[in-house]
Amino acid sequence: MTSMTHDESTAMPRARLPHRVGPLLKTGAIRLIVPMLLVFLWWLGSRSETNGLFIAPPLEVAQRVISDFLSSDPRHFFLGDVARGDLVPSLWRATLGFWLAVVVGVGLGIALGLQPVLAALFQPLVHLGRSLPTPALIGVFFLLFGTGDWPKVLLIAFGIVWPILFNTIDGVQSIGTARAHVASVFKISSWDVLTRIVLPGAAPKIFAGVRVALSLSLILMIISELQRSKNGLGNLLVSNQRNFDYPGFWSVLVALALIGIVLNVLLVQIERRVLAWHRGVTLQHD
Amino acid sequence: MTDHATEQPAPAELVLEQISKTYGQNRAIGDISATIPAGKVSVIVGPSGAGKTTLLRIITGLEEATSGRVLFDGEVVNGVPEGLAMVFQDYSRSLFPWMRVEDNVAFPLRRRASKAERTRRVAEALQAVGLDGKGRLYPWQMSGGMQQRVAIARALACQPRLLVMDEPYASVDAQTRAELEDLLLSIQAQLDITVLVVTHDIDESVYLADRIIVLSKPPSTVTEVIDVGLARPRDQITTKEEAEFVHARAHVLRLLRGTATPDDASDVRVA
Amino acid sequence: MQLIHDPLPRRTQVILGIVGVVGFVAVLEMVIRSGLVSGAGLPLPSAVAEQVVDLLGDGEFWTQIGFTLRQWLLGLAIASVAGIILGGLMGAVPTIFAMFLLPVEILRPLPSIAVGPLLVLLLGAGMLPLSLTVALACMWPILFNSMYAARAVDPVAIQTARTLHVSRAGILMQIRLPAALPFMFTGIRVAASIGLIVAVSAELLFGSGQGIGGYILVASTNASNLDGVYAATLVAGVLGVLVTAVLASIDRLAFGWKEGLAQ
Repeated sequence: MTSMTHDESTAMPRARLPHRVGPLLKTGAIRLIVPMLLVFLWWLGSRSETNGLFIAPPLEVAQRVISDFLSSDPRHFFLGDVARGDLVPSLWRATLGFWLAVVVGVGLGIALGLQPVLAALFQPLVHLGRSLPTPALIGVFFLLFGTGDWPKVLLIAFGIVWPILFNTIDGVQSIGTARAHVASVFKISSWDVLTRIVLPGAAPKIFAGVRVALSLSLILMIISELQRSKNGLGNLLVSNQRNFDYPGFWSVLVALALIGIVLNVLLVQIERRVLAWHRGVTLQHD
Repeated sequence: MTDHATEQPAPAELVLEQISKTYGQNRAIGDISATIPAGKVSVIVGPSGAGKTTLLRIITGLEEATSGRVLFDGEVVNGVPEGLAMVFQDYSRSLFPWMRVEDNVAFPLRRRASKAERTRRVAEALQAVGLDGKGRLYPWQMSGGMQQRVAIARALACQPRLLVMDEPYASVDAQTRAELEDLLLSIQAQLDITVLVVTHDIDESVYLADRIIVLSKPPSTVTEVIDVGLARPRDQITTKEEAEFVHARAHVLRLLRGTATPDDASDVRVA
Repeated sequence: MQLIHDPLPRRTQVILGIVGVVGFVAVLEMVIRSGLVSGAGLPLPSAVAEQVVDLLGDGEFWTQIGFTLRQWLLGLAIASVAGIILGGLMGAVPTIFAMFLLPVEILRPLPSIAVGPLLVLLLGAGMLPLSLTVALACMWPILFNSMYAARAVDPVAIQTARTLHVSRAGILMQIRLPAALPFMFTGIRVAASIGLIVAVSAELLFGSGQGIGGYILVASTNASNLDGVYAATLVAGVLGVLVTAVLASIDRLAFGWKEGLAQ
């Protein structure tokens, strides 16, 4: 499903914009109507008598994002105080948890996918793991792994490993017996089968899982910082809310959206490189 | 395609001895014995569901027979024999879409030949199937017929002594099928390899074969072995007009329908 | 050596699955009991199982399950209506696609859980802000699949219908809609399992003590009832597996024909 939606978004006409400026401006204007309307509604909401208190005006939020997250100091890589104090630790833990989950999920997934007996043994547990509300275990993780970064990193990894694991197993099993027979008839070595058939063959599904995991990792990053945290964007959300600093609260939301977009663009770029062949195949079948 | 007779090894002979295969209660293959002569084209035909693909999997060592044995040049087959290459029915699933054509062809040669040797053999194999210069394409950028040529080139690059093909032309159009049939015959003549083709197409079986092995419905047995004496090189039009072709075709059809017994074969020499 | 194997028969898979679960539980129990791994807060399967039995015998807990399910269904319904309408329009009308693409791409990565507290402030405590949080998370798969659904119709099918003099309304009801339904359903199916996780998490993080998440919140704040936390989490997980399984079999039964589209 996820890869399907991705193909939809890449097959859009935006790749072939006309070279004349007129139509370009027109499509640009159409694209901006709704975002501008939404910002206007946001502004209207911030002026409202009853709820205006909780809704910070867009301009103020934009200023807060700039002042909190950016700085003019090159020694700090142009990162503002909040970016250094909260964003960087958050992203560091999320990255660590993400890679931990990718390594474990893909590694274990390939092992299970290649061994139908193992896959069948663990199938119900993988299904259960996918359906567990991981945030419920946050208290337990603190108890088991102490304070500091580790319980948070492990919570993120535990929460997002399931879609990667599930999709990797699925991807390996989808390679199909025809290609497996090719491998045995032509006496291809196990290492080559692994690196040149199994991994590339499963890659489209692995990427679909990683994409889900990536957006989940942002959610779990926030959740892991809501309690017993000294820093991080989740902690900032809570403390801003407690201090009735709603521009600050909203600026964190905006920052989160921006991070999500950047991460997604990064993943799409990587996917495009790695799965160039796959796009060709799906285009052919359309 | 003309001047590169590079150390092509001698063609292999294949003997099937009383092969049977049972899945649980289901008896797929009753008892099959036959000889696939070296350096010739043999074709196995049978009605659908006659266990042709199962038989192929046993011959190629992908599956074990319930009883009986397969001899590859006198040696019992136990796993995929060295010197056997195979072209699968479904090219779209047997080629690797993430590899370019040249990498698909070179893939079985990894760790078996030096880089220079690989490049040379890939180029030769692609030339042999009429795909020189197409190595940089991906399979999915090609037509079905071209993809099946890639699959044939991949098998040829291994310099096989026995080339096994499972319904190789079932998923291409009639014209492409005729071209690929002629391609196979010319390659076989020049490289001198044993070829075993499984098909359900009667015309194709007679056109390609030196020997036709007709199977019965499951549990399948050999209904008849027919040696086809049609002259080579064969031609899609003139060969198919010859009286022997017409008779052989009718005979095979009757055998498959069960309206003829091997004795009726008045015009074909029976092995 | 053969690295890729043929799949096992279905029955063997089921039996092995049961063996796997039982084996995993037994190993976990032994490892913890033997003291091989020790520490507070480890889930001892027998203790957790006891708690699960207690919970399921407790009418109060069933009320919480009911709250979570209603909260989840409300969110899923909101997301379905919004996602199908907007996604369908985006798929069918290029201008609407261009208009909404940017906001969709910006809002999609925003973790709905982070927006939840704000919704509680704006709407007050209760089920609605929780359901809206669920809806915000469920919206995207439904939207994208509906977009795909609107484009899924084979033009040849429409041309065929035209030659058979089927009316415009007939084409919409008998061709476009049936062709789109399986994709929409896929979206809802994916959203449903995400939604249940979000529903429990939302109750836990900014609910008012109701639902399975509310129970977990209470059980984990006094830290004395960790087995209760495990048990409730397990119940929520099993609930998720059941929902996924039911929806998957509906999908197979109602839309089995879409397998025919694959080739």
